[in-house]
Amino acid sequence: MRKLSPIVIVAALLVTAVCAQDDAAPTVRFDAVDVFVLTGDEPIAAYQLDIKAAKGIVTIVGIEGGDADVFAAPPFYDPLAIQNDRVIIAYFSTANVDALPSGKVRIATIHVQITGDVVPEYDAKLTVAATVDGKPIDAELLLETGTK
Amino acid sequence: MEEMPLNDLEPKGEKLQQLHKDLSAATRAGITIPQELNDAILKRAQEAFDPNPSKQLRLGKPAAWIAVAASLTLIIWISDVIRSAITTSQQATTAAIMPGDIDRNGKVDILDAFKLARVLDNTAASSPPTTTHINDFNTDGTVDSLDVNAIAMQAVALPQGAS
Repeated sequence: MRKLSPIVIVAALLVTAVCAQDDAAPTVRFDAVDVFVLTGDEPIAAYQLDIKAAKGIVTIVGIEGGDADVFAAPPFYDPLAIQNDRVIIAYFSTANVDALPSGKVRIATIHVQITGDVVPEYDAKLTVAATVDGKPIDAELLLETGTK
Repeated sequence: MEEMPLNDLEPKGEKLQQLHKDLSAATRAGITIPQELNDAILKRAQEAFDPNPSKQLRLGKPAAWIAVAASLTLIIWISDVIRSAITTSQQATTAAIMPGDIDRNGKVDILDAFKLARVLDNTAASSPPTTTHINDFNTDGTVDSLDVNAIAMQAVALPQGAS
């Protein structure tokens, strides 16, 4: 019994330490934010948008291109945006108007790391949406999360 | 003396008839004025209308040509001054445009890269666009896809201190 007491005490201490550590560590998860541009019937040839986390602890960990062939490549973005919570992305295509997408177009996906339990919210602004000759088109921005 | 009626055109009386004959003879022969008398009349007229003829500026042919040449020179000089002023103004305006602002709207965004890319697509390799501080964004002496990419990167650059 005497030999068991130290062992029991040490074990109890270890369990307590582990439990305490789990309680202090915030949850970390990853999400993919799909960025859509709604252009109606207008073909889109160039876009630029600004996205920033408005709520939650969000860190950008990756950016990929969209569905349409002309926007399949990753967009232009500032490398400093990685490990940050704000990014400006932009891309253009000089393809013929027949090859340009229209309607609901997924132009990019932003992969984020979310720390904590707060559901993140984003402020997004579409600063450029233009058609084949550079003329602006009336388009809206749509973000969808949790799709991947 | 007999009064002649106003409506009566026929001369009456011997003296009046003689006067009529003499006047008619003078008219048929023509009236001549001696040259000396004519010159005297003109001289008196000039003196009456211009009492100081010596102060009149009378230009000879050489002076007239000199005046014309001076006028043309002045016109050419003024035109050159105006042209230089316009050129300087245009150069100042161009210099005020920031590098990469291809569409000259005061900001650099993806549309500038897009526009330059379209220009390069429509330009033959043998005749590239004229290099300016606006389109040669990477200042390597040529305008090409590297400038397009550089402008696009500038468009998406985060402001310093942004988080």
